[in-house]
Amino acid sequence: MNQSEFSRRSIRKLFYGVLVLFSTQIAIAEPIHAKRIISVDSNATEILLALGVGSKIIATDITSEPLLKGENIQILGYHRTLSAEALLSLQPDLIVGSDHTGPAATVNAIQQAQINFIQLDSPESVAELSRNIHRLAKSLNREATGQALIDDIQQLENAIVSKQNGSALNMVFLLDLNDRGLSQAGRDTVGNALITLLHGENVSNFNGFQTVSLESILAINPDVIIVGKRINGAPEKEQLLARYPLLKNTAAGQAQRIVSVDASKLIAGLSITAVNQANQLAEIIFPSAR
Amino acid sequence: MSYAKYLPARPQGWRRGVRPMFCLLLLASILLSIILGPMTLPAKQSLLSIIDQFLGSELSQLNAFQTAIIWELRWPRTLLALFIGALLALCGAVTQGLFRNPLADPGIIGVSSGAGLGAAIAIVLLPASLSYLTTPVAAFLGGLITTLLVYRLAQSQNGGTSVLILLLAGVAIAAFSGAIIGFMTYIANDMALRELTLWGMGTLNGANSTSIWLSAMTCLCLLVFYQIQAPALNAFLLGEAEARHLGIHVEKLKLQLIVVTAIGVGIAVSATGIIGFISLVVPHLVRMTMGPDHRLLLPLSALTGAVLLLMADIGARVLLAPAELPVGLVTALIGAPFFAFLLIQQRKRLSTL
Repeated sequence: MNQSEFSRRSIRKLFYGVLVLFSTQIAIAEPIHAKRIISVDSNATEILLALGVGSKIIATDITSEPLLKGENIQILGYHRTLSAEALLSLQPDLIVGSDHTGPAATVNAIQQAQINFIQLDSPESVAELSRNIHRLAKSLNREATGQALIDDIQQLENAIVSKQNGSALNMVFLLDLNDRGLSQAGRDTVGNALITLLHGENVSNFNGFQTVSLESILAINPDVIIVGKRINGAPEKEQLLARYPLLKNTAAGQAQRIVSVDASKLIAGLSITAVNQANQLAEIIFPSAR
Repeated sequence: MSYAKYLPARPQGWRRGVRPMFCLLLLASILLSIILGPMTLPAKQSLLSIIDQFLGSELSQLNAFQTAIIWELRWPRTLLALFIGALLALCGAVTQGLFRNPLADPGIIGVSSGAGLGAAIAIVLLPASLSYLTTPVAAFLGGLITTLLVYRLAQSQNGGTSVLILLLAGVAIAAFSGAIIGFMTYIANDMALRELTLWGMGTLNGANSTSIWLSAMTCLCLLVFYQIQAPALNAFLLGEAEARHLGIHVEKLKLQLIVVTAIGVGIAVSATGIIGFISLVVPHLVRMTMGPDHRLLLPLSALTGAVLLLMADIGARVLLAPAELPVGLVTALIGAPFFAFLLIQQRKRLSTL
């Protein structure tokens, strides 16, 4: 064994030794005292804020930025192209992400550096959202706040059911692509999750978002049209009707059931705000609630 | 048998200084790439850590965590940028020589569009859990298959291939695979769509030992192989008929060069996604300064390609830190204006060609 090989090995040993020492320390204190949190998922950021640990977030991704406006935090860019070195350089003691967090090399580096890393699933139902809240609350030792939050959303869901009162409506979720037409939410999308939450029937039988013609929407003649509104966007409902006045002839148009939601709250799956929005929509949509 | 004809020609006059200068530049960019990053580490200590690593001394005062940042995050990227940059520039230089066309890049024989198609099929149709494996393999196979298809299309009945038809066949195949990629994009779900877009921009973030070894070995093999073919490529510059009269197996050489280039670019693309402009701009830069002799052009292109991609990657990591730019965007941002500047400078000389 030559000298350089020896020293390389000893450096490596030292490195792993320090890592083990470091990680056991974290494991004891973990994650109850997380003081430097990085959240790279807008849904997670929302939950963290609701749990009252927003002040401990030191950096976040681009989708969470609007939630943390005015705070002095670092923006790490797009949540699928995070830089491992940038994450490590901020010395977080907890990173919260989702199944969208990437690239794989960065996720590996985080795991190798033995930093606490919570990867949430993108929720498609209130039950899954509650599970995420519970998981975060538990690891931050805020179970009481978490449970209150879960109860709140549960109540919202119950409120939606009582407003729906058995009526089954055909619904469609659209994104207005300006001059490039309309995009309709398919079966495996978050638009579908919103429709399911409203106990509606999604008229789409495909997966993903697909561009559709106005004519096909007129042919489907949905009872409810939900339009995704972008951040800073004009009220999408008026814009949609101005661009496609024929939509007034659909069942939804006739019954004033063309409604808009904030699409940015649906980027990472069903969020707390999205459930709130669904409850407000239910009030407009369902006849018994009117 | 004399090997002298394979060796790089001796540059004359001020050009004599270019090679050592580029070697120094390469060394400097490697050091810069190790020193710079989103995490601020003391430059002097980082340099000492490099010395430690190679000499086994213990001069650096960085802690184990900081040393790990350098050796487990920055070093692999540096190596990958080095080999991929060299590989892309080499393949570009050879394609331009082969087609006797300064606008040619490896995309012209269908390899980029084929690789893009392979990757699109893997990302959209194959299970996402295996995409770390399927995407690079499919990209490589796609590149190779389309290249062979383009070559086959250009083959005439008497076995010869016309460079012009090769070019047009490349355009046709690229258009066709573009259409299929479009269709894949159309049926892709949200997740696959984003992955597809990012793949098209290229990144060195996925550097691992497999991709580094693979690109290093390919780069070395190609350097040697192309260097052996350099005199023949020089003869090619005179025209195909002239090369044939000089005793060169034109068809055999063409097939060999096309397949080897497709393999080279295929491996580069499968390791990093599509990184544009290196293969087009770098050989030009070198040709403009050092002349068209392939014996000199090829190794210098490799060197320059490595430097340019390293610099671009440093930019990608540092410019928007802590966020990270796709390196393909940076190469285009640096490459395109520089290229335009050189064109303006040499407009007069080029217009007489």
